[in-house]
Amino acid sequence: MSEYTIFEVYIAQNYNEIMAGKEVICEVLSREEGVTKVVKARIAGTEDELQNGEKLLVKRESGEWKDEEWFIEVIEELDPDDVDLPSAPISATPPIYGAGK
Amino acid sequence: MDQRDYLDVLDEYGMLIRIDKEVDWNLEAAAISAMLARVGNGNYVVLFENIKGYYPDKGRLVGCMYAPNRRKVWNKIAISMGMAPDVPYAEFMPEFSKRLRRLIKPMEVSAKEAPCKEIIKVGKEVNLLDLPIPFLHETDGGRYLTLHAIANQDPDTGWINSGTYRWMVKGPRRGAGLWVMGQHGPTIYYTKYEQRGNTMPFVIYNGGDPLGFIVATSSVPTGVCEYDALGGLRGEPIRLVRAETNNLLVPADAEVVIEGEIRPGERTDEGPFGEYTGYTHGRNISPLFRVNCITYRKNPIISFVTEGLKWAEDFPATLGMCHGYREYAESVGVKGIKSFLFNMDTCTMMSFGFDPEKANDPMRLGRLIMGHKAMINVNTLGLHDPDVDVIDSRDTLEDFGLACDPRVMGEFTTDDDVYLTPLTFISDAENRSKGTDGAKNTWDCTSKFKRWKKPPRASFDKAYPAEIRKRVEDSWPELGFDEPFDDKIP
Repeated sequence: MSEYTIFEVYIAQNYNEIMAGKEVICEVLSREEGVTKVVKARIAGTEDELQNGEKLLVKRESGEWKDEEWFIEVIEELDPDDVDLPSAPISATPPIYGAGK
Repeated sequence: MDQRDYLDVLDEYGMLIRIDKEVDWNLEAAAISAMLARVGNGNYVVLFENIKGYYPDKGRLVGCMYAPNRRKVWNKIAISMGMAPDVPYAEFMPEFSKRLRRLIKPMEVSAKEAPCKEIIKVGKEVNLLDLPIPFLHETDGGRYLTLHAIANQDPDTGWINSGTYRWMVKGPRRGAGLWVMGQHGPTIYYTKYEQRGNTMPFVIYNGGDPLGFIVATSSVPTGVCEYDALGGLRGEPIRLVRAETNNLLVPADAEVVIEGEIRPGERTDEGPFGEYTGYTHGRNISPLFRVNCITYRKNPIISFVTEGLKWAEDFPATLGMCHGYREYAESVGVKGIKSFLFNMDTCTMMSFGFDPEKANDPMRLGRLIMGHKAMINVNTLGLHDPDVDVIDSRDTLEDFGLACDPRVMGEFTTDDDVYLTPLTFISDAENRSKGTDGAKNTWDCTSKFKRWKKPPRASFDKAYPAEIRKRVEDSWPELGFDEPFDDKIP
């Protein structure tokens, strides 16, 4: 099973789509390969909600792990040049969203 | 001398450890290196010859390249300069400074004479993951190059700058770095390329002359090319070769060269990264480094430092910064500087020793040093009497506790105009990302202009007459102690 990581700010940005079970486009780090990827994916708070869910660890801006459980099903790896995915502004204030389960 | 020659010399000193067992580029190599830096006391460099997924010929890793001896942090720099590792600081630093002051122009060689061109991959052939670039700390944002330099050119003057700025692999042909305005390379990009809407070529090189990293992290003045300074430090012209896809020059004997461009306005996430300050620096927004070509030696040896506490492997890099600060301070009339060094291992605290007979107001030095552009790294400066061994952090902390008079202790500066490295976590993250919200302080631990005089020290070198000290030294080997006699003199 692969593991990915994502910044909490991108969970917050996509929170409504994630909760609605929609596909989102985001940048994740593949822990196995040690490299970031832009992916089309579904993200959920439980593994059962996804067909092939893999662990998604959430990082705060500071790099600290966030104590939350999320899962990701990567549908497609995208060419980052084909996607307009701007960086979220750096903020001292942690984003607020409902936690995964 | 290139990196491979340096490893051979270390081998002759018995300082090179070769590991044949399979080691993972993903955290394991870094963890081994971090532990060796902690317990090895600067006595070793570790060459990982069997990297998982890259054995037998796709690349190796080398760690602890500069991991220092705790008492002689310059030991490996001395070796790479052709000096003995146990050379005293009082001999090492003047020679180091003398060589750094002279500039020797590099020589350009053909691609055929350049080992870094043994393998060339251009365009879609490029895949940074073909190289065993290591993943260094669990919460890092990706694989990182740490012992490299990024070179770019001032489009107006032709000046080539070469500096070390952490660099993260983002994908097969993408990267990102800590590219902070105020440092030479980033300032050239932001003010002379991006503001004019132009694309900037860059090259990144890892390996080559082991002194290259020291020069790339030192305070070489604006307009002076690090290749000239490296030639001065080495004592002969550095061999450079033209990049494949742009007009920049790179060291011909580098292990790996990455060529590419930064297009104006393109940004991407970079970080987090476990930094030399000992803590993780969080997400950062970086220009996007697009990679067009990689060239490398067969079975390249990628050098890395793990950074972080304790002990900071790359601490000796601060020697070059210290040289720059002293040159600057003396150029503006500060007198009586005797010795100086960063305190282990923060790279944010620095100590200066003064000769009170020659010194002018120590606080003047404090203000001048804090105004030096390279002092963005430093938030705490200690000023000490010459009887304090500022080479030993224990002594400076002891002096801070004993001689820094709380009634007249120093100066504290804080406001949005104080420029401080974003790696210092004590200020607000949002402001730090803009390079503001700094705070600095200078502690005056000298006896100059104080209402008191220091009483005699009760230390080994002061409390015992020369005859007794000599007798102890002579009989020391026969007394059966494991530790060698060490009558350290500041």
